[in-house]
Amino acid sequence: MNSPTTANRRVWPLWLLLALVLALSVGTLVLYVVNRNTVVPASWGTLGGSRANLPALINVLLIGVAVPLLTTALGVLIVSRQGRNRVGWLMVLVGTLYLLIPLLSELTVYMNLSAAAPLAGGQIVAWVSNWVWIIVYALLVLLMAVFPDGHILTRNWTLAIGIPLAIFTGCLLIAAAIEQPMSSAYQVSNPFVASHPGSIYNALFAIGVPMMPLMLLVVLGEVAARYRRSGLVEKQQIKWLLVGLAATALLVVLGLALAFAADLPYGALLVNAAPILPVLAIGFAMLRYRLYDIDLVLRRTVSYALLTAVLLLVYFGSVTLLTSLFSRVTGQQSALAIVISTLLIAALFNPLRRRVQHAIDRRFFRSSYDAQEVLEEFARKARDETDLDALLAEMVRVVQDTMRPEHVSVWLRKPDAGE
Amino acid sequence: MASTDTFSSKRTTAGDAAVGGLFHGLVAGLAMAVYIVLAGLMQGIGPVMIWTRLGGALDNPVSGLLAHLAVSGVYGVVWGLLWRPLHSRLSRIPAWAAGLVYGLVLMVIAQAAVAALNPLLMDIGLAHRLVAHLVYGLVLGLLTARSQTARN
Repeated sequence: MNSPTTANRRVWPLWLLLALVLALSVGTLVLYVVNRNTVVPASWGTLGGSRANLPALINVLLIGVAVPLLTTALGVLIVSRQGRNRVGWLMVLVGTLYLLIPLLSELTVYMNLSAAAPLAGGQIVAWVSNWVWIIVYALLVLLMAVFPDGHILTRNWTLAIGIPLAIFTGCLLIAAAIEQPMSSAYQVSNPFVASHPGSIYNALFAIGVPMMPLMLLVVLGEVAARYRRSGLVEKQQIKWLLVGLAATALLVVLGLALAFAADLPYGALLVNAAPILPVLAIGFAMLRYRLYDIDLVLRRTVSYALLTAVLLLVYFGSVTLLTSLFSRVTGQQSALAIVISTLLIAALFNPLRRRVQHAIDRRFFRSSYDAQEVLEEFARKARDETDLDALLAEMVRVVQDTMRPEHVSVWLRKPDAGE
Repeated sequence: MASTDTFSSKRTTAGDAAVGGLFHGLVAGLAMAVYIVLAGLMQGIGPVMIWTRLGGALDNPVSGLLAHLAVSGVYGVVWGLLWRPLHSRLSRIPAWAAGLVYGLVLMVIAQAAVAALNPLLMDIGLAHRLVAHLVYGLVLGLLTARSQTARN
């Protein structure tokens, strides 16, 4: 193992890189402020028009500051503790490259649209901006695939993930590089291609885009296979990743629903904020910060989600039934139905929460449930047992069953030693 | 000690009885739903049509089925609360028989008050409606008896 001094020596350039990411994040923010009144054409992820509004500012703060800084900082921390693990290095790379997406995007606006005349090199910046996101997406997929030990599970899984990853990256990189005008770079003209190669572009796009969900599915399969083979600590780490991914999926679906169904600009913010969750989850899991709290998070989330669903169902049923009954009896609608239904929900909340928690613990968190059963049994025996030695033996057994320590000792104060 | 009470208590409170009734009511509601679908098929009415009509203004079969389950759950809560005092006084009455009587009472209430909610349910015929409610009551009673045996 490396000594801390050796590890620190190797990591110090990364702390410099983090400082650079911070400086460039501030630069991105400054560029947004300069560009905010510029009318931009519609582009991927941007509606077009002026961006002098709160959702656009929050968006830049999220993707230009929060996501890259947190990702890079967590990556540097992981490298400083586990230098040989590729996860930390990948996170540093993802964080740094992620920053390039908003930075180059703002530079594209500034050099091609905000300035009085287009600046030299503006089209090259736009060209890079048009394809850099593809590399970030591929690296994010790779990061999930090698988490937590830094390697893909087996050679077969490497092939299963590597083939769609290579097709996705290759096809979309070429498609983005030859696109004219560039749809991810505010429709700026491509400096290297005179006219849009429609048929080649469409073919590459049609092959590359379906690889995105396919890659995710294959990686999820690999994570599931890894979970089955892993030890206790690795299982907890994978649970963090899965919770992060589930929350990401929820945010993306909610964000898309808000953006397209309700036409709210804040919907896109949820989608943009979503990638930070698996990254944070990976960071927590790698640094093993409160690693075992994940069970509590899962138990509470599942039980309260179920509780909410059942209470909603009861409320709905009660209002329907009572409204129908009251309107039959009195001939008019009565607010009493809502009052009674609300009281019913309030009365049911605690017993229902206990029942749901008990059922979930028994089904999914067997060890915790068994521990409760053992403690319940011990409490019963402790009430009836009068022999101290038998009680001690029972207590040791209970501690072993519930906490599974390597060693248990009990110290008893001699009766004549104290008061 | 408070923790000892929490772990060792086997007494059921009114809340616990209501929650037990709620879950039993949901399962019994599912059994009743299966019977309604079968009865509807015998009358030439498809399940989607039945549940869509029960969904009322929401006009889709899933909301109709959810509405049926929600009402079943609430009737289960009422059953859970009624069964506790009833059982302590008339312990000889088997739960399944009491459940059948409860189903019959619900049938009367449904005839008087809930019929307007789902005219199509009325089309499956009085006999099928009666059997559907008896199925609900019977399953409710059997589940109550089962959980009582498990507790004892």
